[in-house]
Amino acid sequence: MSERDTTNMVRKYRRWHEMSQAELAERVGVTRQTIANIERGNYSPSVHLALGICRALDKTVEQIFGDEQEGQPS
Amino acid sequence: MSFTDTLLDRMESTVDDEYQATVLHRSSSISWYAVVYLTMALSAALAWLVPTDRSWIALLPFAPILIASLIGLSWMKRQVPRPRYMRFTPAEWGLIFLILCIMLGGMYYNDPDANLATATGFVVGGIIGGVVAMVSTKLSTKHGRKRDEDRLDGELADD
Repeated sequence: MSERDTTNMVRKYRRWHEMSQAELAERVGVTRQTIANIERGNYSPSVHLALGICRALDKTVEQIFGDEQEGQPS
Repeated sequence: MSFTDTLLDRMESTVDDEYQATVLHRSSSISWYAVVYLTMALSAALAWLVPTDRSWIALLPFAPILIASLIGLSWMKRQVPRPRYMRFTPAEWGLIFLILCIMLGGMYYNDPDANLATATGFVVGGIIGGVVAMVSTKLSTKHGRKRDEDRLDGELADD
């Protein structure tokens, strides 16, 4: 239930797309601070925001927010 | 884990899932809104009860609200910018004006030397004080939010 210590692959795929936090934030309609906090694991986004991020990064929810993320232990 | 993280976990352990936790936190906003107006009502009641040489006591109930706001704000500012100034609705303005009238009425009632000039002073002072407080809060919130955004962008940026 806690929104702290949540890992994800947003930073990795954002960088892979050579996109800044501000650019991703603008694409999904949130602030840069929100993207930064999601990347740091401080905030677990809503389903709608998570889907928006996945669309912007051209990845599936499982690839970015799933339990078995690429390069991450299960 | 910090004290505030532990506190939030303890609060969230009182409900069963994330939806209930979200509703719990939203209900805290409603509680806070009620606390502010109930404190104003308490303050107005105290204005009728305390003698005129101690009329400042009527303003004391606002101290915990102010301190609690600063504590919450300082926690919030570490993660997101402080919120924008929330405009009052006409109904809220009417309620605030009514409570202010009751408060000033109490101060006037308790002042043995009260006369028309005193009453005028109370009303004019109350209105000017209220407007100055509102404008300064609005401006400081606006500039503070911009400062928070710039600081957080600097701290969290990872491009």
